[in-house]
Amino acid sequence: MGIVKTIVWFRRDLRIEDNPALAAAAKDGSVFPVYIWCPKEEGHFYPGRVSRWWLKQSLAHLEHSLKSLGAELMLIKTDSTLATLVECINAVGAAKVVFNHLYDPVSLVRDYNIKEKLVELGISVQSYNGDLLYEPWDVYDESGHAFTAFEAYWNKCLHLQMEPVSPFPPWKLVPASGTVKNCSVEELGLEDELEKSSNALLGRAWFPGWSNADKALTEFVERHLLDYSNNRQKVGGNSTSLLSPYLHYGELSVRKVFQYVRMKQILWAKEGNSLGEESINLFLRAIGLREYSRYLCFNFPFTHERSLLSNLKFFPWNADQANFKAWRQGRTGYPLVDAGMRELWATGWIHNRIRVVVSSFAVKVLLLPWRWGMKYFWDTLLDADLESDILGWQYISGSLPDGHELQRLDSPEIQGSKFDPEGEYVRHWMPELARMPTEWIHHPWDAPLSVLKASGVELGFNYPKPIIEIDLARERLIEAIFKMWEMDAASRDANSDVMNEVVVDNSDGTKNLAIAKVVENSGGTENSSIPKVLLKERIPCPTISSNDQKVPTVQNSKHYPFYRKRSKYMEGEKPLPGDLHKHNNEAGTSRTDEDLRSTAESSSTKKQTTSRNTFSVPQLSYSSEDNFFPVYDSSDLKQPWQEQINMQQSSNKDVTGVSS
Amino acid sequence: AILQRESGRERLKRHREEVAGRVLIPDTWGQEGLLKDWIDYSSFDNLLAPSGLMSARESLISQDGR
Ligand SMILES: Cc1cc2nc3c(=O)[nH]c(=O)nc-3n(C[C@H](O)[C@H](O)[C@H](O)COP(=O)(O)OP(=O)(O)OC[C@H]3O[C@@H](n4cnc5c(N)ncnc54)[C@H](O)[C@@H]3O)c2cc1C
Repeated sequence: MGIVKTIVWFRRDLRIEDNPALAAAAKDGSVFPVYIWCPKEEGHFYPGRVSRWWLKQSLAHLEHSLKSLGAELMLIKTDSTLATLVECINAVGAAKVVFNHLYDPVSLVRDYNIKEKLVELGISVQSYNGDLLYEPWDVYDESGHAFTAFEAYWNKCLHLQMEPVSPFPPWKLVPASGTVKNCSVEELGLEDELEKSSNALLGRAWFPGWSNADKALTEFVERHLLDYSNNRQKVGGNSTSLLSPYLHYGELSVRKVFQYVRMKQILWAKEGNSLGEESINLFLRAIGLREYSRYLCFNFPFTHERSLLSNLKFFPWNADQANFKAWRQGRTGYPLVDAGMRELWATGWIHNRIRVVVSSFAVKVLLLPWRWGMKYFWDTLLDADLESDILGWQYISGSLPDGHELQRLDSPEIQGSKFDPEGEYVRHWMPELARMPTEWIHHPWDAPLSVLKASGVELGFNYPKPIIEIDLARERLIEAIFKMWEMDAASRDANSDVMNEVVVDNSDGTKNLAIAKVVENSGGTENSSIPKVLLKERIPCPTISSNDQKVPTVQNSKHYPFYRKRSKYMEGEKPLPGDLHKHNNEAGTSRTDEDLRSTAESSSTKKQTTSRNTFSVPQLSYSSEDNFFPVYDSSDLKQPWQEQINMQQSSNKDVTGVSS
Repeated sequence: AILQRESGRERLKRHREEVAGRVLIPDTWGQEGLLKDWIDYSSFDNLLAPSGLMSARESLISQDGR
């Protein structure tokens, strides 16, 4: 053992195994593990009740484990993380601080500032990747740009080498001695007195902590992974891995998950178990989405003139607090939505499908600002995770090229019959509808009076009438979209001089890195929804403009048939909502889509491409959930058997899987 | 052997059974006062884009290459 004394600063990496910062410190000499709780610095992203409850349990667990290894975890509550770190350094006589990276904007800035200050004080600081398979700056396309669509991103990832898991955790820690003012887990104040009774319930359902994470992983992989592809659509039961809260707090190394599952994949491939292989592909994509959430946040941060989300900048939200409250309380009159909101409150976790249903309802039916919903999720989810939460809300609100289109409005009634065909999920969470027959369970407002009576349902009394009729909602959504376009166009006109090239951050690019040089796509307004972010310039460095030319313009416009021709409308009169239909069909038969098809591989893809365009017509959009993202259905990695499945069961594939 | 006692999944299932029908979502959330601030695009983005973000990214990237 060396004599280096290192402060190991734990944050959202609450585990022993495959913890690079801890391992490095342990190898170097003696360690002083600390967890610093600084509510003041959390600001607006102060974790919600259930998330804090989880954290508290997990810290107690980690404290225990570190003690068994020989070192005590210092828990410290403070007003300044930096001051506390300095205090620890002084108390121990440490020369070094280590921690694992976080990528959300709030942590990024905090970590950077702290690092700078510590270095100024002559302390050596080292940080590690403990949270991702791939660092967000290591994945880029041929021309060095950041990916803006999941499928391409993930395909690239799967072809990259990744850091292997460090196989053995430190088996013994040498403690660095020193005295600081620490406290017990209880004294951190992660749980208010008032919250305790609600939380006690959670404690019966969930088991935070890294060793429980390990168990959950093993159980999932050994018993449920095989059926993941069949079961993951089921909204009621435990059909998915339930690993998200563990992954959020770093109780489970994502590299370990990946390697474990890859081993299974090799085994199942050898056995010719195609169901297993499909399940694994889908599960790994889910893991990929988590990676992607970090990737997008990091590479398209909100400072950019035109961030990945800015398409909604001019959306005329209906900031109605009463509607928001009805949504929050599960009193919208749409059973599937209401059931979801109740489950969320009661258990701190809901199935991805239900997340999509309730979030889409908030944005598209109620026209509530998506940030309201995002913040509410943040407050109530056990797995509340800034990047995944943002990705989810972007995905449903038309902010991603491969997500749902903004004008797509699914009817909760139809979704109910699809994802909860027997109505079990609704009955489970909505006792007031418990006696409703299946036929009417997802649309009680249509039920004959006699049925309502027999079921004990009195609409407007013990269960609300629909907060807004779906057809009216659809009309309003379209109006809102047109209004947004108008405003957007007006603002573009006003800014037309600065449109051509916006370089947001012209970093000096030490080494071959030109970070975040955002270059607007040239050539008109249609394609400019997505900025390009240059991550890596090639060697020898081409000029930026030549780089740009290598990116086919179709790349960006193909996802936006809907937007592409809108300028036509902008010039003329405001079209009636009905015109949208024509508008989309036009786009659907345009050359761009032909180009698109030529890149598609399967015939099912072709079919879906066509139907997708019809489908983006708001009036029809509920008719088919199945035909989404044809482009991605034929990914390079797809096996022939998979294509077959695609054709048979097209409902299973949503590109990002976010909504599937 | 690892999976002997009641697993996490089973417990969650039981919890769902137990709480269903007894869910009372409180009248106030506690953050209503802030909703207005989050309508505006820029105010929210300021939350997510604290100043210094770009240097922080850059620093992380270049440190990684060391
Ligand atoms: C509006 C909305 C908000 C969301 N907010 C969050 C959030 O705050 N925290 C969170 O962890 N997930 C969030 N998700 C993503 C997803 O719903 C959950 O990760 C998933 O349901 C967790 O269940 P699981 O662990 O059983 O998932 P599995 O299907 O078993 O997937 C395994 C892991 O992959 C990751 N993953 C799966 N789907 C996604 C996805 N769509 N985006 C990002 N990562 C994914 C998760 O880490 C998950 O634990 C959100 C999705 C939507 C649509």
